[in-house]
Amino acid sequence: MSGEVKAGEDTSRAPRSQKIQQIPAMGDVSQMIGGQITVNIDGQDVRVPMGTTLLDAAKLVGVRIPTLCHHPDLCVAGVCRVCVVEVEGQRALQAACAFPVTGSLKVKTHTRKVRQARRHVLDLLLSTHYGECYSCKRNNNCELQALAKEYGVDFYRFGHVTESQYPKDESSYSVVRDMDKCILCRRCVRTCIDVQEVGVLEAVGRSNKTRISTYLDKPLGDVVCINCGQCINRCPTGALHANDTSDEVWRAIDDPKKHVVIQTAPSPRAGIGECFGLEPGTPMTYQLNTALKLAGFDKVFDTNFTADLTIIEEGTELLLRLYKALVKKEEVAFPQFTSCSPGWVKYLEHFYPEYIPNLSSAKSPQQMFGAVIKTYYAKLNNIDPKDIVTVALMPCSAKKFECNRPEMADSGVKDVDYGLTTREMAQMIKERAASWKPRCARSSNWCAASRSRNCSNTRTSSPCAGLRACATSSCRSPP
Amino acid sequence: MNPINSKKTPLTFDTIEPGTGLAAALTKSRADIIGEVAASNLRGRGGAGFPTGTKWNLAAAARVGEGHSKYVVCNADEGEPGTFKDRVLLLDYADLVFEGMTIAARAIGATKGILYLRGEYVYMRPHLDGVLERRRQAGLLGAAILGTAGFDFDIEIRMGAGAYVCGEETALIESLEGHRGEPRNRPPFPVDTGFLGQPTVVNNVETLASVAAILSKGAAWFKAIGTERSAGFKLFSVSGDCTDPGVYEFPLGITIAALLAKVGGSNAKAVQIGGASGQCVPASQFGRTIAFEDIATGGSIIVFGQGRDMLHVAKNFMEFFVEESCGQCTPCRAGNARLLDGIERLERGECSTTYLSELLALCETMQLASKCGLGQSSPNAFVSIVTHFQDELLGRTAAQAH
Repeated sequence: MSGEVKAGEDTSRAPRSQKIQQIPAMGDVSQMIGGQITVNIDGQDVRVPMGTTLLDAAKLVGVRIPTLCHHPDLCVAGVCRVCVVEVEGQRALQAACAFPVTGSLKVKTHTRKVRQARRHVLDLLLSTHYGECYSCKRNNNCELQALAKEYGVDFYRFGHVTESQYPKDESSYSVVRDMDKCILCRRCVRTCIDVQEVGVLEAVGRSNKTRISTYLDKPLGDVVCINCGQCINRCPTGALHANDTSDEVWRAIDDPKKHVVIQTAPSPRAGIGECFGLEPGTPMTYQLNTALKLAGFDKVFDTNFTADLTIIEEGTELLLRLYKALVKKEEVAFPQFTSCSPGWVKYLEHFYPEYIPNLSSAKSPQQMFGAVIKTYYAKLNNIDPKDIVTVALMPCSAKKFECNRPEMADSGVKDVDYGLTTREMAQMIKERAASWKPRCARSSNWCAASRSRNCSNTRTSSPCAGLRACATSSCRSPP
Repeated sequence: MNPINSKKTPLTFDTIEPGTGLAAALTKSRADIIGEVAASNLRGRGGAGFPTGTKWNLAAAARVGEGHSKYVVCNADEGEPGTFKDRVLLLDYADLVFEGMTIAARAIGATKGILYLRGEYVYMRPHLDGVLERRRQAGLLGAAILGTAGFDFDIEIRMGAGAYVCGEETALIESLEGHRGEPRNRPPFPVDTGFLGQPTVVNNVETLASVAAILSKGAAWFKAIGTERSAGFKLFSVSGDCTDPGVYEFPLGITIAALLAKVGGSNAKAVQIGGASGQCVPASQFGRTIAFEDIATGGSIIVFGQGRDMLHVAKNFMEFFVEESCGQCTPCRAGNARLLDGIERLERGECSTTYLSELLALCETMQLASKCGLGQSSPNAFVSIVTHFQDELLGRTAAQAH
């Protein structure tokens, strides 16, 4: 951060190896002019700008090419090889996600060689993929499972591991790593270094001993992970998932001595409908309140209240800093950074500790809420804070980490006991509040899909657009 | 001296006066240097056989980023099992190798050269550093080479760390940049987007030494040796069941039988040509020629005598690939392990012919769908051994297993 950053200058710390292969985003290729090349895909001609990948060109003519390691947010890897196609004049098959169109090409996407290769790639991935689908968090929402079905996998051609090969890493409050389910697509690696610029994950070992690991194989809880969960968001299988504390929440709900209070952040209220077959973004605030009461929570509150408190606190702090700087001529750290996002806070602590004085001393809305409940609310309702369990429904896995920070215990006990993600809450609602059926606001129909577990991974786990978006926005709504 | 280090035939390189190639190159325009190399029909000596003139032409035409340079990289990561000819070249003909790099730099307009030296060759480092220093003192490296204004070029040595895959040019470049040695997607190719994203020529040690010879003696001289599609002479690293292993020079196009006669291996059962990633040729095919149009090779010749168990041979190679796959792409990472498992099943007599044909289909997938040359060629030995020695592989019992 030291030194002037010129506009357009590349400031990413991602290794060149992972950036150099970036093929520039083409936008809506059908709308572009100039540098157009004709590609023939399965007999259909399509004109695309130079540099378009075969995968994007195929999409334009409605040819679906399966992918696993490819992700639209990330640079090209070309490692899973499930998207291979036959390019006329090339001896070997080419990965459609990584092959740029630079001349007139004839491409075939479903020849014998291609079908055999794709099936073999899936067979090979499954041969080392431990565990069965019905006990997996990503059952019915897994890209590997979907492709296995699409390609008619009905037996393990090259065998199947019958014993766990790796211990699960559950050291992090936020992210659980299960290498037994990893297919080494490296989306998490690319997400962590390229999108988030954190870089705690990397491939280690060679050949069939390759695995994704951390610095010196340390547990995820002990490295500079900022708990943002963006890796979970892009994992195609169940190898990465949030550290689910819903069992503990159930225990609290089932305990008659406990007064269980939940706060809901704005984002999960807009996202949770997707887990019930509604359009992403469908407002669910009031229906969610009903569902939470049905699920057994004693009180449901809106985090917006403490978001307002945060703004008042941070605003006051800014005025005080300005007063110190301008009137009293004291040395004060500027600009003042928000402290709302626990991912951002941890990022700053690890990578730019010299800017810690710039962080607002105010707590995040989630933690202010916990403190208010376990002090003011407890006194008002004459409940011992030790008998109150506060749960936070949040869009970000870093919130799980935040509530476990040791300094977040102003009431004498943990201010917020558990953080739950949107998907975990949807699962709890499905499990307990079976009679609750969300109404689809757009069609006014009762949505029949409410029992479906088919919630799309890419949106609901974290509608937060990533750390940089969180860090730079004014955070009026907590991330 | 280790017998495989010793030269068994006089080498053409002995007849090349160091410095004459570079001197001749400096009298030519850049285009003419490339033209000379292209006219010689020199093809890459690492094994893949890409025409050197074409590679240089692409790099010469590629645009270099502002404030950057083009690069010439000498691939001395000699890691193919059974290959040791670059060792001889680097120890005895280092001047010709560096001269070839300097000529390449002149041709493509590079200012920096890197010798990527195999980790196990670290003992050569003082010798090679000494040669480089001597060349700097003599004005053969550095600013204004041999008084040619504007021709600045220097060479540094970088050590590999023992990974076989770093002999693959894009993995080599990744390694040079300080990353995990893993192949990149191609295109873009190194001639366009190589070291630090700049145009880079990666040539084998022997290719570069040959360039110095070609510039010294002329393209026509070189082209007259060998066959029409495989011009020139080639060094061979001969090992295995023969009376006289070592480094040999033969013109390309030599038959296997003729080669075996020279090395004292005429009674061979089979010959592995091209190292672990090459193919295993049975005695019935010893009439075939070693040339790009028939059996291409980087120069590794491993002779198997009548007493060799071919399944054991296949297992040895496959163990190598299971160790050396970089682990990036699925077919190579998981495929080699499956093939090794299949070989172990064959050893125990537990591999059905159905499963064996399934494995051969997997070999085809690996050859077609792997990301780089390692996975694309790792099944070659297994496929050729299964094809030519199937009777020997099938019908074993667990008691016979090694």
